[in-house]
Amino acid sequence: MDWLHIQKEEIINILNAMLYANGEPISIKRFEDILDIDRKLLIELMEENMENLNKSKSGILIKKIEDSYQMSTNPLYFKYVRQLFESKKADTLSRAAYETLAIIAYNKQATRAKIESVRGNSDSPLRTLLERGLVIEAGRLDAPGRPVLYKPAEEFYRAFEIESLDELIPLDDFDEDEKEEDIMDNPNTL
Amino acid sequence: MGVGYQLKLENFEGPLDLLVHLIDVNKMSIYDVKISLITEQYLDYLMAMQELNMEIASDFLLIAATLLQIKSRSMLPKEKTETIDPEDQLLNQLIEYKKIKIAGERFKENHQVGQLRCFSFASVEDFGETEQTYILSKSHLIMMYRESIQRELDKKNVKAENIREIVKKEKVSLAHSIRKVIDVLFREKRISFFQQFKKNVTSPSVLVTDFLSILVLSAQKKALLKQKRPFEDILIEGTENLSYPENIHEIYDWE
Repeated sequence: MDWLHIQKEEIINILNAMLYANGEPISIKRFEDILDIDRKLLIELMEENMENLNKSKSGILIKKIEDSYQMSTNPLYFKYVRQLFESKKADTLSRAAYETLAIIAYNKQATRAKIESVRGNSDSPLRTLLERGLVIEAGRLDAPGRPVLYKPAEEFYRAFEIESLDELIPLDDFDEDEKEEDIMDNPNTL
Repeated sequence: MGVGYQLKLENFEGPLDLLVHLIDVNKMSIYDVKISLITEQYLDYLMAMQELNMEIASDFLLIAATLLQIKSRSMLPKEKTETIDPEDQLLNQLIEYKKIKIAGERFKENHQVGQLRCFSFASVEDFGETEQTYILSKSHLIMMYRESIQRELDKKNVKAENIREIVKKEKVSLAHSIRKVIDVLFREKRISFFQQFKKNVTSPSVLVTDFLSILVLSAQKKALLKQKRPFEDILIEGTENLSYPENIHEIYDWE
């Protein structure tokens, strides 16, 4: 296609139309294939699009999920949107489930044995996570017994407002004791 | 238990959770844990659990044994050719666990925020019937009672008359259906449940039996089922184990 004659705004409009029609996430690769536009330009336009929607407090926003994009409502208007769905209650999981999910997310993928080495028996929280579609199987580890690997599912990125696993706050930032230790070890930094 | 601290019986997620709690209560740094004090308190806790007739999970006992092992090793002169020091191992585990515990709390907060966004396809299953409030009067109640009795009667009559018809119609064989599915799987590499079976189905019982067949084949590892989301189409692929059942027991007695 000859995109030179087409305005940036028009491409953005096309992207939005495609996202609306699809409902589910569309990968950058898919956009590239269909529109035959350079990947860098696509990402650039999408970023601009997302920023504009954000700035104008649009009812519809675009959420980035790893290498894909998906339309969603603006959290600002949740109060109203939720009233469409009588049964929509805030969902919460057990502490065990959040911990298990954290182990899987921080390791990008984990076997049952890995999870258990960190927080002990986790059969039941793992089952909950699988049932909720927050975690899926990601093949098998090339180790004796070929144990199943689990990784965060697409739904995880949606439900936890996360774009990619690299975006997670580094685990070591949660090491409160180490910080104190550092200060004690190096009194000069005070 | 002549100890100067209060044992609060909370629900701990596991032995590591209890250890982290004890370390916090004693205001120790996780990098400078007084193992003997913690061991004592940990065992007190297990005893309190026992007194309350709570079942002590085996993983709690395993950590108790590890703590005692560490304590006994500390009383012996150190060997030079140490293998893995159980103390280091346990402490490293605690450090890792504590980080994950905090990360888990963070995840809980993220989960609250994440749910403020709605996605169009995701909302389909959330459309529930809105709850309704009825104002009941005595006559209303009687009317509803009569209605429900009548409904029951209607149901029974119809069924009683048609029972023979129903039994006759329901004769769909699972063995037959499994053969049918295997036939198709041998012909085509991958089939769609909706396309292949749901589209031109003759009766609900045939569809249910076909569905049962693919479940049996999947349980026997003869076929692989894939479904993206509940209620969506199911893709069926034959595996290398795909074969016709040798006898009837293979269909009904698999475990």
